[in-house]
Amino acid sequence: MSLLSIQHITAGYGIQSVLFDVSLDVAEGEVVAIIGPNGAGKTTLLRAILGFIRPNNGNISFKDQSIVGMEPEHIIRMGLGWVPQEESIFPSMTVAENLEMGAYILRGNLNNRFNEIYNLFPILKERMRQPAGSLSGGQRQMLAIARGLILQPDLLLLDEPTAGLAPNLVQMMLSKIKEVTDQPQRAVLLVTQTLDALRLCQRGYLLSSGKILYADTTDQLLSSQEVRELYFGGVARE
Amino acid sequence: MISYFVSFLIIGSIYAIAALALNLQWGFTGLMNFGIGAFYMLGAYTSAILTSGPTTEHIGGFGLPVVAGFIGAALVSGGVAFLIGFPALRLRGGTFAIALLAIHETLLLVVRNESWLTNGVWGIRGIPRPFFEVVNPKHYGYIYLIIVGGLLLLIYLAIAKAVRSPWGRILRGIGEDEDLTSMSGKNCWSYKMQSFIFGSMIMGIAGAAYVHYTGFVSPQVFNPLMSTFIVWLMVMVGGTGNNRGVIAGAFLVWAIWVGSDFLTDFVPAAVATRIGFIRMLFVGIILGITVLTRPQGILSGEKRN
Amino acid sequence: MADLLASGIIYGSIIALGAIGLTLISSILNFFNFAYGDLFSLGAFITFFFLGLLGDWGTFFNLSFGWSLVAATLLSILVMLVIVLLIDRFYFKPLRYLGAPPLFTSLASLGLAFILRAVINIAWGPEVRYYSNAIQIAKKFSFGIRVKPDEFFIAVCTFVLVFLVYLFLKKTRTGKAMRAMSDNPVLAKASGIETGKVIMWTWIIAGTLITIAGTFYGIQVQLRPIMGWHFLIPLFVAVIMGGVGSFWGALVGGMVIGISEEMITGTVQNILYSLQIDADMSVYKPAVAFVLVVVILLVRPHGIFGKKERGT
Repeated sequence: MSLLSIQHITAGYGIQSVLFDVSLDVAEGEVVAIIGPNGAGKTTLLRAILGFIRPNNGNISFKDQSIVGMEPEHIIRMGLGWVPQEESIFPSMTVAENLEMGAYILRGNLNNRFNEIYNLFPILKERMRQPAGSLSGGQRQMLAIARGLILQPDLLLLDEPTAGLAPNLVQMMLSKIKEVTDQPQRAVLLVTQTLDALRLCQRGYLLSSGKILYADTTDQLLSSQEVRELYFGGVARE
Repeated sequence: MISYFVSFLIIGSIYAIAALALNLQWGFTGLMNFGIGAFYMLGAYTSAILTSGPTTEHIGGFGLPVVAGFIGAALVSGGVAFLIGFPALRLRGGTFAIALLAIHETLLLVVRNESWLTNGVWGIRGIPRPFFEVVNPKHYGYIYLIIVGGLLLLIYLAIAKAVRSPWGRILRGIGEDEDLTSMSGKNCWSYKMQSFIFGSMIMGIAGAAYVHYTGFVSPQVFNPLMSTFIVWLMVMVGGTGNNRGVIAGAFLVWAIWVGSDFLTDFVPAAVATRIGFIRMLFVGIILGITVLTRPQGILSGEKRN
Repeated sequence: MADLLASGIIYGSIIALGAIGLTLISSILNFFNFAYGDLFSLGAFITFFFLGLLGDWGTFFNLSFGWSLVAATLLSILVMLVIVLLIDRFYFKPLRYLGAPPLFTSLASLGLAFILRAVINIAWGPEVRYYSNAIQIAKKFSFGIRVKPDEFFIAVCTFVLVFLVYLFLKKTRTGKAMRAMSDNPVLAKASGIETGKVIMWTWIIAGTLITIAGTFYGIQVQLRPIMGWHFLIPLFVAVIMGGVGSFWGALVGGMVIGISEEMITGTVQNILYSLQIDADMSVYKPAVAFVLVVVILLVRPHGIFGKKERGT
């Protein structure tokens, strides 16, 4: 059964469309990648799913309910989490407060959830009273993911989680993401430009100039010479 | 009645000149100038000091010809804009507006309090009116209307030509998306400065045109409502970025303002003393309605075409 | 000098009260509200109105005013909250709904400023008013500091109010949501924070603080319809100096402006006296704030406590 189903959406900013007739599916517990060059419309697609942009055409449904025209604050209550690529934290608030804001819609005792997050990212526990803006780039990214995870969403939208990180941090971040994707109940839609991140996924969509060019399993995408050359600069990046 | 109408046209034309200048700065370049009154005032006082006769009350009394007054007004307003531009143009959007508002209030303090320079709240009188001697004073309005009308036409043509030139296209680019324009290798700061100075010089000329019509200038004229806000209203009503619309907006808003004076006859005497505030209320409400009902003319990017 | 410092602190605390509300409005609603100064006047005048209704209830601590002013202020806050929430509902909310850019909303708020000032003038007239005609004897301290009981009252109340607002922002769920929205509105929305509720609370806090600040100014100086417009510049300077959205920035910024306006003009005045130059420097007090902001912005464009600026 498909958890998220996007059917033929056209979307963009004002009169300018960025996405054209995009269709995409994510099943429960599935880990799916969206790959593609800069400016392909990957972030726009996530924004459309979250309700920040209303598609001009087509339908988006989550858990078999159409979410087109719903406000982001309601969409996330249905079990959708988001980790944006940029401005992914509340910089003047402490680490603990960031996580609290991530769990804003929940009431009651959240200690279990916090402990779970702190087990996954021990460094955040150490820094819990520090303003998030004072964290290093890698720590910020971990906080951003932690903030997105604390609601234990059924589907997590991860926007380029390794972009802008130093090479040694990329491997560490990927292993953390693997821990996240390995949880069987969690579906992940991962936007990425790196082969390593693609390998964490079962399937992938290649988005280019706002259109889906390929939709295939990760193995097929990786074995396609064209995909490798066009979007990952050949084998050099491995 | 006719002379009333001529006087309306003269002041309307002066406001239209200021509105065109604001349209250049805001409508095309996106500079939120909340200190129009400062440049208007600088022009007015510069010309007044340069052209009025000798006096013991304050500095000046140079008795220069009116043309020199106009040139001086443009130069001083432009020069001050240049100096202010250095810190202020580093600010964007709302912060720029606040800085300009503060500059206006500060200059108003100076004009009110430095009597040696401006004769303080008493104002400067005896400012020459061009060609006043050659006609019957009763018909002087027509002469001055020709002068400001010509000035308005000249400034309109100059601005219309400027905004259609490559220079104007860059200004529009900055107004629409400064980051994008600077990415294309344009020095936005320099273009913003040019637009700011050019617009402020025109505001100075409007100030000079005002004092040579009334023959008198005092700080009261330059309160934010009458010297800044009303010009903003004219631009908003006329349609931001539309030069001809802005001129029409200036005359329309001025007609409403002058027309609301007749309200005095219809309200009880106790309220009549506060009529100025009723007009202020009126103008504020017009802006509110303009903003809430005509967003398409003001908000969309198409406006600048 | 010490005396100038003391009066600067009093004046600074009134600015700080106003600036904390204004910095919240500026960052959470994402525009510069030019009507904020006139709300300051309106709050003070509504207090004046209720004071007239309530009469004299006796006083305490040798203040120039009494219990009836306290009651009048509380009633004034209630009325002001209704007013600001109605203004938001029928003026700013439609603009948000249209997606108006920040500059446009700022311009709309300038129109509102003139509407409010006109209403104040029509209702109360342009004359100067006072809450009380009582003359206060200042208490003398060492270093030539003279402080009136009213000033003590203002300083203590400001301290308590700032502390309460701080607790609200730091400890309550709504307060944290407000800070989150000021920090990163998109992420706040995607965290399920109710924009409408946060904006309502922002107006409630700002409306309460500005009414109290206006009333304090009325106690300390006098009531004039134009006072709020003139007060707007120091308020904005405090907000910009502290960095838009920063609570501590607004507090420190307000204090710095209050103190420097008093000390700089006072010191220059003393120098002019000693040189036997006859000039009244106090009229240039407002200019100090302006010069200060130019200097600060040249050195630190995002303010002392500033973060990256957004659309505004």
